[in-house]
Amino acid sequence: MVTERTRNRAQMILLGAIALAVLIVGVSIVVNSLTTTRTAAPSQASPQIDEAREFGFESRKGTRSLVVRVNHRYRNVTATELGAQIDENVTRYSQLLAESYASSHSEYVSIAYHNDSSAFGERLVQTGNDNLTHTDNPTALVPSGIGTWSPTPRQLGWFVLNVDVENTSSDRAQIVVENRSGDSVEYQIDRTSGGNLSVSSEVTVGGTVTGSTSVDCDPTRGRVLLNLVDGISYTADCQFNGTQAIEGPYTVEVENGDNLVGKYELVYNDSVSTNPSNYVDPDECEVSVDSDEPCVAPAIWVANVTASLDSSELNFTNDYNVSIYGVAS
Amino acid sequence: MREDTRGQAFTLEGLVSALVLLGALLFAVQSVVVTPGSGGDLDASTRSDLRQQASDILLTTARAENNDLSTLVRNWSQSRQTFSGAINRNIGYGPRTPPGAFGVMLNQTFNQRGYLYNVHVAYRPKNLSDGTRRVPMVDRGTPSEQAVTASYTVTLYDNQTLTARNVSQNVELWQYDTNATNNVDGFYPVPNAVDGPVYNVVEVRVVVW
Repeated sequence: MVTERTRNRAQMILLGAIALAVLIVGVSIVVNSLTTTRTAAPSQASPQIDEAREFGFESRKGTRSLVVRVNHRYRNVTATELGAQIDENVTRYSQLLAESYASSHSEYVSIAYHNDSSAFGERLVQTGNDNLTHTDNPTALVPSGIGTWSPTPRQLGWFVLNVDVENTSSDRAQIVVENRSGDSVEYQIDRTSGGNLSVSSEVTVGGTVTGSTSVDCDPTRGRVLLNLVDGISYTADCQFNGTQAIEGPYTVEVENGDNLVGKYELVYNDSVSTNPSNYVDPDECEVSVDSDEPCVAPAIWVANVTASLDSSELNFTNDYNVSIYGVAS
Repeated sequence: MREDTRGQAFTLEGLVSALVLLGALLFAVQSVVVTPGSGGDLDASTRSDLRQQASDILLTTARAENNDLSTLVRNWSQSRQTFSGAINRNIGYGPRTPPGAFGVMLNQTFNQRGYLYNVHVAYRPKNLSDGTRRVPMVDRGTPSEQAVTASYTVTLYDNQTLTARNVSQNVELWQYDTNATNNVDGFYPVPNAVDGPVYNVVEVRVVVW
């Protein structure tokens, strides 16, 4: 028998069913929309942004590595010839990169070098084996102006010494790198009785010795290649204080250069227009200058390049200056 | 008579309730997204994640202090004529883990989660019109149709040397021959593609499935 009470219960069942149905539909809509959103979120643009970042990084790194190599490839070139060489090599590099990116990423990339907007530095080079002497005494590889005159010393980007250990004396030669504040890194170099190259370095900041090292470097085929900027030999078997231990700009002088035999190269920014009266400027490098004589040649200090990337989702062109030796002017 | 009518209404209300519930359940079941992954394939989200992970591994390795991508590409053994520590030239490291942090990351990111991967080095041939050639660094089979690829471009220079332990550090890349059977000058498959200091531009490609 259906009473008023049981009838009310039946209506409650209907209402409960409707409420439950609304809840199920609602939950299913929410779950479905979440799933759809998660699936649709990744787009094609995301990988291309990563690839653009990669290209931006690699184009700077590649240009820097390439220009360093061209800077040190030739001795007897003028600034115009060097600029043309770099332009030609960057174009070849750009073509290789373009083909590589086109084959795998379906993107077009290019790098262009602008010689007129690039800054030149100076490269002091002695490509033949000889003492580290000069007509000055002490030999000023990068001229000193501290105390006696007031031009700005130069930022040092590259200082590599290729020492002929056998012909180097067991008496010490000194190389002193100094900045305008009087902070210095002093190197003492000589041949040990065992035929190795002894390299001692001492860093002085504010009149206090803040670091000193003394290492023996094993020669390879009779030579030791020292990178004095980073403080390491190229075979990485010995480490010492680099010139980076003190702030630039720097002057570089060699004392008792007769004791040291080898080849060397320095690159510095060419911001100094006048030289001290007691400094004999080396000749410009050309065929008539013997290889065992130091001479100066141009080097790109900051390269201005344009990097472009064109893809289906992303296009950009970036004009930037690449500091070839990682040193700001 | 009135009691019969009420009884029929009660029955009808019950039926309507059942139909409403069944309709809601049917709607919910129909609206569930059935992803391809449930059938063994990779859904779009998983593929995107895998591509990003592979890309991150390449990026991290490219910028590493030691054993970076350039070092790994030049890790070529003269005696084995394949990558140093690899099984052979056809499958490279094959089931073995490539050296350095690169191998560890690939192993932890993909192997241990049940994914397979290949790594190969694509390079430009001496004659640029010949297209792209490749050397397998890790070959673990044919990728599925769902495989994803990530790559990173590495520039090699003439004056760089091979990095395998037993190789002379006095021989620069440009001095090697690309002919494996006539290797008087040593053998390295990647050729000097252009004149000038640049040796070649290679791509390290990771394929994951």
